[in-house]
Amino acid sequence: MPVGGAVLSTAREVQIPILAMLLIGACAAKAQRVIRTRSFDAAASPSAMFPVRLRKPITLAVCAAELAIGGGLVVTAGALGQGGPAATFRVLASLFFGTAVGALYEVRARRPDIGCGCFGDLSEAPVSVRTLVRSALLCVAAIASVGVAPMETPASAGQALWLLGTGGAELAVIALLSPEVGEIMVRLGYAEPCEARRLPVSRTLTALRDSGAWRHYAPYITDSEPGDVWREGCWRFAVYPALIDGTGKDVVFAVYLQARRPPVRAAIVDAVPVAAFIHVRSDRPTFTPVPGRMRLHPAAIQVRVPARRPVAAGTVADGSVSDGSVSGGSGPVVAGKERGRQRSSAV
Amino acid sequence: MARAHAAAYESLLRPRPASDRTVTAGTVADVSPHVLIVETRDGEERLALTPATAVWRGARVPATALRHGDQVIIRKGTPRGQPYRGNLARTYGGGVARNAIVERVWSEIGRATGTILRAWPSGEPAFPGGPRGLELVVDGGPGRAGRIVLIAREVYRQILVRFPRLEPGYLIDVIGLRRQGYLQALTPATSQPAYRADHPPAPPLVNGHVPDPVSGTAAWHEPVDEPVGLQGLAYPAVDPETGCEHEHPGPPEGRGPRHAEGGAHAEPIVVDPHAVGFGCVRLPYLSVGSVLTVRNDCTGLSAPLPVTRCGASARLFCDRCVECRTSPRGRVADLTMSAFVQLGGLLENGCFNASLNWI
Repeated sequence: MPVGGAVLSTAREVQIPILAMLLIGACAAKAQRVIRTRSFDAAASPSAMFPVRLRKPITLAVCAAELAIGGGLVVTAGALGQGGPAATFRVLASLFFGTAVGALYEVRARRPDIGCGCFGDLSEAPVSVRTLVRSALLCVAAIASVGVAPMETPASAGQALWLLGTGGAELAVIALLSPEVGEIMVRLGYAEPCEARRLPVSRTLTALRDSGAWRHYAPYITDSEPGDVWREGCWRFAVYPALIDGTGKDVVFAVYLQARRPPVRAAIVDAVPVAAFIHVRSDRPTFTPVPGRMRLHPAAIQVRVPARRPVAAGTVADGSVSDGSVSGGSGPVVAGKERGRQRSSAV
Repeated sequence: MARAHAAAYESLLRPRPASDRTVTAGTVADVSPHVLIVETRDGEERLALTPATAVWRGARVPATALRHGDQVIIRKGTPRGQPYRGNLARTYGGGVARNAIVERVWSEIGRATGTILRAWPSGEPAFPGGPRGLELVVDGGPGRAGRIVLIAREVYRQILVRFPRLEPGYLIDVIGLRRQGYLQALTPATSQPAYRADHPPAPPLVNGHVPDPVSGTAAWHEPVDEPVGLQGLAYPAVDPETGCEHEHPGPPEGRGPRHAEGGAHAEPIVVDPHAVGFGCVRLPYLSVGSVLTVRNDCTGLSAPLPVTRCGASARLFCDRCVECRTSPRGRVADLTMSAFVQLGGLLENGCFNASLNWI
């Protein structure tokens, strides 16, 4: 047999396990979603295009079809059921994927906001050309599998390698066409970002009181409770009133949101109503008097937690937008009057 | 919390000359085919209407359909960016207003966003067996009172297309006309999420740091206990440890037009957004007073806006905006009406594709 013919023959042979795996996997992912949400209509899938009363039966029918066709392909892959049953399941698979192409095309045109729902929670990205091409490719694969001889154990190591190589190449192509792969990769390597980490204020304050910065300023602090506590992403801030050199001041502590031994920084600002600028970078917190984001303190102290990038002028402190800044989208800037009053001291 | 709001508002509303603002909110004092006089916080403002001025009052209407006492929000502009030099719009000091031409007016526009608490048929069918209207009590989320929404039979089917489950426990988001004590729904603001409000999808997982900018949908809300012209946003991820309301909603703001009971008693909270997780977009926790740069990805306009209140209920909506392209899923900002209009949004459309820069 010429090389091209051998490759084609091998490619046709590997379609059956690949199609079966995808169909059964899709059914399992949908079932997992239904079990987790306890609802059949939670998925934003193509069934959303049907009236509400039809969504549940449609979802059930699709899931059952996937399981039945996938199982049928597995059972009839070998000598068992060759002939009519095997051809039937392969034709059904072709029809299934062909229908999917049409349905996804409709979804993309009519409801561009919903995903294909092919693999449950993993398929929430809007239907794209990639998704359509994937379904079309699987349809072609199912058509190619019709008439393939029963699968047998490879006669030689070389043939086994051919099969593995061909199957791997096809899976790689499918992976490239699947937005779900990116979602899987994120889930596998997930670590909660510090910006979205929930940590009780009590733990933050406990960590603060164990810190060197607290010990440094403790003799000057006049109230055991913070005057205000707020959060900016990875940092939580606490303001304590203090008396330094006979003058009322505020000590602003910044505590990084991590469970153990968080970095703590502090700055002294004049008490009401002086504005202060605190520069905090997630990776390396420092305090420098640069303008940046605005924090409105309940007691009229304005502590600014600036950006990592320079901030352009043109915006007023009232947070509203000047005509010029709308088009440019500049960052926040302090009004001139307040800029002159800024006080900050690095620790 | 109240003090934080008060301080924020004091700073936010430090008045700029009315003529410098591109968005004005106020009450209609008088209207003619060519001039609109509006009572604002800073006094009376006289604005010029042109044939190109678009007026919304339940639908596109001529300017003369505006009524004395209507609450309006106005986007101003100048033709081809040039200052208006006509005589119609002069400030009371005698100078020519820089932004004196009215580009768009929204009158009595309102929005009901939240979880349906109760629903009952309303009105008589047009014919035996024909469609009837619907009255709903909608829970606007923590810190907001429940609201009565009337869906008249004329628009019932139109809203049903986008919100097929108008029953307790499901989400609703409709735009309409503010009436005394209720909202008359006219158009759906988005498509109804397929899940019940207490079963939103799992949030996406983010590895490393939360991306900057974060993209999604920006919606708008009616002022609750904030000034009408406030420029700010209700942020969906205000740190729950330091000031995101958990209190139960109060009774509805008013009574339905026909329903005698009208939900006058306090309804139990159906869904606490804090209890259902992050929602479907991973946002950094911030506080009231934090400032974000919000960008309208459809118009390219952007502006720094302060967080003025907790917007946790926006986390329940895992929807997308298709205003220009298909936005990523989830609401990243619930803007005040003024900020929404300032950024080029059309209130009647309900949303725009937005990006938030938070650092």
